[in-house]
Amino acid sequence: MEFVNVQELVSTGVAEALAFYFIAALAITLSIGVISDKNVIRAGFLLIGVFGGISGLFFLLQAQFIALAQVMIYAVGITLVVVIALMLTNPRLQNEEAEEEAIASSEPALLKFLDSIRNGFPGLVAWIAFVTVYMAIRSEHWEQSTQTIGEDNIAVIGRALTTDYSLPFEFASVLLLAALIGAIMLAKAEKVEDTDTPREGIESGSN
Amino acid sequence: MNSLDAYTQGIQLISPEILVIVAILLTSVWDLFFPKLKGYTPWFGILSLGGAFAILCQQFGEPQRAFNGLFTVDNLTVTFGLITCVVGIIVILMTMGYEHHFRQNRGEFYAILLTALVSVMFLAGSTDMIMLFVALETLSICCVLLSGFQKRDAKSGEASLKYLLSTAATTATLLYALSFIYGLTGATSFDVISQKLQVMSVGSGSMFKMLLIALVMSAIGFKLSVVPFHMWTPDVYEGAPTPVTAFLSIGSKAGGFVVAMRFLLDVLGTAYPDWMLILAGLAVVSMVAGNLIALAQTSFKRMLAYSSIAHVGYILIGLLAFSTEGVQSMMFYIIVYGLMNLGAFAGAIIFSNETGSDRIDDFAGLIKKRPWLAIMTSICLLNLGGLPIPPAGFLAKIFVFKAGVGIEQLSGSSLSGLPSAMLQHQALSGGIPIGWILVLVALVTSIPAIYYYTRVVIMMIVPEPSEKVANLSERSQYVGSPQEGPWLALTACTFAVMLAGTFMVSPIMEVSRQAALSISPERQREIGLKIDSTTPTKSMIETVPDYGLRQRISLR
Amino acid sequence: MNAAEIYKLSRLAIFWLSVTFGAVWVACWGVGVFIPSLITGKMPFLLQVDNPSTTVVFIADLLRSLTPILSLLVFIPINAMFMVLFERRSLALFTVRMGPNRHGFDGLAQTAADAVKLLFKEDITPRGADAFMFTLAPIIFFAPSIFGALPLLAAVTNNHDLFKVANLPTGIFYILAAASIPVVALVMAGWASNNKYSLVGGLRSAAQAISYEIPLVLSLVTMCLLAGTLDVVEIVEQQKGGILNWNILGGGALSGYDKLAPYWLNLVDTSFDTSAMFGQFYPVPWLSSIMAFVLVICTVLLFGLYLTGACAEINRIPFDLPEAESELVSGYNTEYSGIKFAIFFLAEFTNLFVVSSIATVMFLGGGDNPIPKWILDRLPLEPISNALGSLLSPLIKDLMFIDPATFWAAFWVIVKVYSIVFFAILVRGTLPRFRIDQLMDFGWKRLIPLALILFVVVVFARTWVVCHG
Repeated sequence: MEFVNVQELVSTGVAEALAFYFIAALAITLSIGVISDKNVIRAGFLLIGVFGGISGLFFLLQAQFIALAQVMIYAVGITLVVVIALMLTNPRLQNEEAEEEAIASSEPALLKFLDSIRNGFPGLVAWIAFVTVYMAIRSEHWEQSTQTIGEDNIAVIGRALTTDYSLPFEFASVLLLAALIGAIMLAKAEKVEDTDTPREGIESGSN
Repeated sequence: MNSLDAYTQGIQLISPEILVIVAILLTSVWDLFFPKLKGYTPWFGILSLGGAFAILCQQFGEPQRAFNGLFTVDNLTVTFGLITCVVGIIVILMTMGYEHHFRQNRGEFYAILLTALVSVMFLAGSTDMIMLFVALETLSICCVLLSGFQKRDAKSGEASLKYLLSTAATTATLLYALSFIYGLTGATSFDVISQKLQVMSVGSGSMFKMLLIALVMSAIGFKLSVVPFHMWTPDVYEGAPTPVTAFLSIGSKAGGFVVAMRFLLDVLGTAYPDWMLILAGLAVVSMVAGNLIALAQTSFKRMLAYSSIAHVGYILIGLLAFSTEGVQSMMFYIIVYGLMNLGAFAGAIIFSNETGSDRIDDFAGLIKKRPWLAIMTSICLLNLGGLPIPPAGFLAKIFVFKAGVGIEQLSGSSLSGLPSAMLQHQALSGGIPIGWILVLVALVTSIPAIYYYTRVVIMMIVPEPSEKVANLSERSQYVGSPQEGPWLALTACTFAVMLAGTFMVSPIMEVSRQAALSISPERQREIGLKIDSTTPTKSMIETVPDYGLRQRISLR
Repeated sequence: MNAAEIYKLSRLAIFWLSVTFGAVWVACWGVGVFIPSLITGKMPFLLQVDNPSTTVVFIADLLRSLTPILSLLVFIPINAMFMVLFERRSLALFTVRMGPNRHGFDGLAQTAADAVKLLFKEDITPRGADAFMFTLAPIIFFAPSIFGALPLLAAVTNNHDLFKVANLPTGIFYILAAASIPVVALVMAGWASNNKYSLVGGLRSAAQAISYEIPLVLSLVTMCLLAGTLDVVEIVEQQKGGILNWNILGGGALSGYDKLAPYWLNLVDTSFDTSAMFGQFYPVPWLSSIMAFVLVICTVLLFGLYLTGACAEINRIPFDLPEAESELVSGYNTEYSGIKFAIFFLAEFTNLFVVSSIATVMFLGGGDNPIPKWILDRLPLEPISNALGSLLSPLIKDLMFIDPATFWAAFWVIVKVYSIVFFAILVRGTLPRFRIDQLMDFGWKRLIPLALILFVVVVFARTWVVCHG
């Protein structure tokens, strides 16, 4: 194959298609890793990788803003906090799981078989769900947008958020306020002397 | 009209919501700045909700669009706004007698509760998928926080976590559905979507549409706690602080109902034949399972949780009727059910504050010590059971059943006016009188409902006082004590129920009718009819694959 | 003052800067200009080809588009070597010590020797460590500093043809997103090392980076608000024309004064009616000028906010809790040795350079000359530049070796960036380390509210003043 120049390689979509398959394969592999990895923290890191892959797909769709938000918010912000939360959990849980497995291996064959069905059930459900969604999507005729995406789509998003969709945009701040208040409420350490005395409060009428 | 005018008009239309948001801001900082005046925090909420109620009353009338059609103020919005305000005031009153459980987080509780209420108000008026989603998400997050507000109570934490996980899953399904709809129609506005879907729906029953409906239905079903999606309900209801349970049982459900109405009746209205059978099945299962499981409960809150599942089943009959009458009966039921249920919860709060228990057995002999509490709770419970004392709950059931019977007529002679897709579907369902089945199931399942509700009433009135009740002090002076709030709530609910069953039936029905007219399932049917008349012949629909047909229509 | 030491330090800086940027310049010219021209037969004095084959053109194109990355790859190791030495010598200066002065002439080759030593050390993976993650962490830590800095290249080189490819419409957002990735690597390194010090270091770094990212991003968002764009090249373009146009002074709020100053100072035609033009820039009398002043204060504060946030983001003292020696041995990189440690080290200094470049681009006008144009015009520079131009014309015209515009842009960028780097070193030599709770309090209770207040003030103030955006 003889390429004329880099621009053509990009514009004919060959490079894009190659990049798509690469990133998609990466994301799928990583997400399979997320569910199959026994080590929950490593699974969390793999999840960050999955989000990175999805952000790459958005990049290919020329949705730069969403791609970057994906990296900043999902990959680094949320998932990392989840991973850190996992690190603060009990590491012995993993060992207990290993013990359970050891017990399981000594069970009679029938129980083992039932166990394998039980363990395979979520996977079965996932497959059925996947096949359903896939077939449903393929059965529908999707109109392809002929609009070209402007260079400046980040400006379009900004304008839409501040004009047409200003109400949900502003209302999201109410959501965030509630979430912040709630998060602080849950995380805040309570004073020790504020002990559990509901009954007395009621009885004495002092509240 | 220039954009600034449109904007100010929009601001005017959402002024009730803005009032409540101001109250949110005030309540969230009030405790911080004026720790000595803590007691006033709930009154900001009550005042703002009262103000919002007053403003909403003025907004009845022609539907008005605000913010480029993202938010619609029609009678349905207003009615749900009014319901929300009333629910909010009563829940705040209940909380005033419960807030010692929240220790230093009292102000925050009111702030988050008000946020939940305002999100229901926005949900009621949202006619755009983005607005709908943001409002629904706010509601979910607030509910999660509220159910976990008793930080030291492990059950409360469990409730919060269970709600969080299940709400996250259903949010995902809803978002999936919304993104599919957006991909299909390229629009976020309900109007545009329903128009485009009408064009596409001629060859209905495609697998994709079923998937869409299933996804939407699971999200709505979760909010309404319809049976296959009800798993969270009992644990959350039991673990959450009781005022929150009261709010969840009616406030957040009102949000679910309004989404169901807007989405199923308006957006997916032309797909009625597709979702009708599914929803009917869900309603039947909910009525049966809810009532039967409620029979076995020993905890009062858990019993109310399961019975609420059953009540949703009854209310869904009104939705299934797909007619103004159906929606009207539904609205009436929601209003009356809300009042009765809030009353029952207020009674439960007063009782558990005094005895520290919510076991049904502990209610025994309550009338000997607290006669008014027992009587008023009994009135609410009997109405929940559908007994005509006074006939609020009874009438609500009657109206719903009447609308439900109407479904049968739809599958009979009036079919000729329906779109051919519906005709096809009727052939498929073989003329099963779905309406009659629903009503029959509802009637039969009412029997256990009456049993388990009256069991509590009888328990309160007939036997000797239980140990807990016997230990109660003789004094039953509530006014002036921290119990004042719930007591006020209970009294107000009881009186409202009594009024709703007697003098106020026709005003409430009128309001419900106005609300129903603005969603107007009949209009959907007419539009469907128009499309039907434009499609060439019935035989063509069967032979031409919908792909080609859709192209023809869009070309035209 | 220790004049001799200061002289030695400046000598060191000038020597190493010449080495660094000379190497980068040669590499860029070689790959971006010389080889493509040579193989396509466009090079003067050498073999001329009229119709090069398509493959050759493709390779030439490929080489040109790879120049930005290549320049960074050349730049990063040499720069890190310089910065380490610079830091050590500067700290020695501040604390009145000698600093490294043995290897090479007066210690100039100290870090080069260190680098060689590090590369030859044994690469140890501790027992119980998650080997895969352990290896991956330094790579993830290092990679963003390469691809995250790409849009900056276009900004600091005056949008040079070779670096245009790297520019993105989402510019600064892209840079920030890339800059947020390394924290993943720190947590990963901390966890994979199977060492408690490492783990605590990693967790601390995550908490710190996530907290301080907020004021950092908010300050840059406010600047973007003033600029009306995210595109870094455009932001630099707006700030052209002297110090009064720079974003640090009100984000263009003083542009009006800059334009009118020559008239007021009687440097040019005095008959021009300045009041009308003044009215264009400052529509409301008095209020606009006051608001311009407010904007200047806000942007200066934002600059400080940015520097603070950036310091925390890249774990510099006083925010170096993740690797606090006295508490955590060496934090997340306790278990690392050899080349992996070298990569961590490299990336840390590269990050320092990158955040300084962001500051330069966003606040200090990128490659802009600080002297206002109306002064520059009156200086007798033209004969000098003409003479230089004729002297260097074979280099400029024929070999395309030096592009004067790019050269001066690069010069000013280097001056500004290394001033900020020097400032960071000065801070390191001056301030003690925070305690972790102080760090969190300072971030959440001081910086974030301050950033939000500044944001709101700027939003309102800029309605009265004509800014860049």
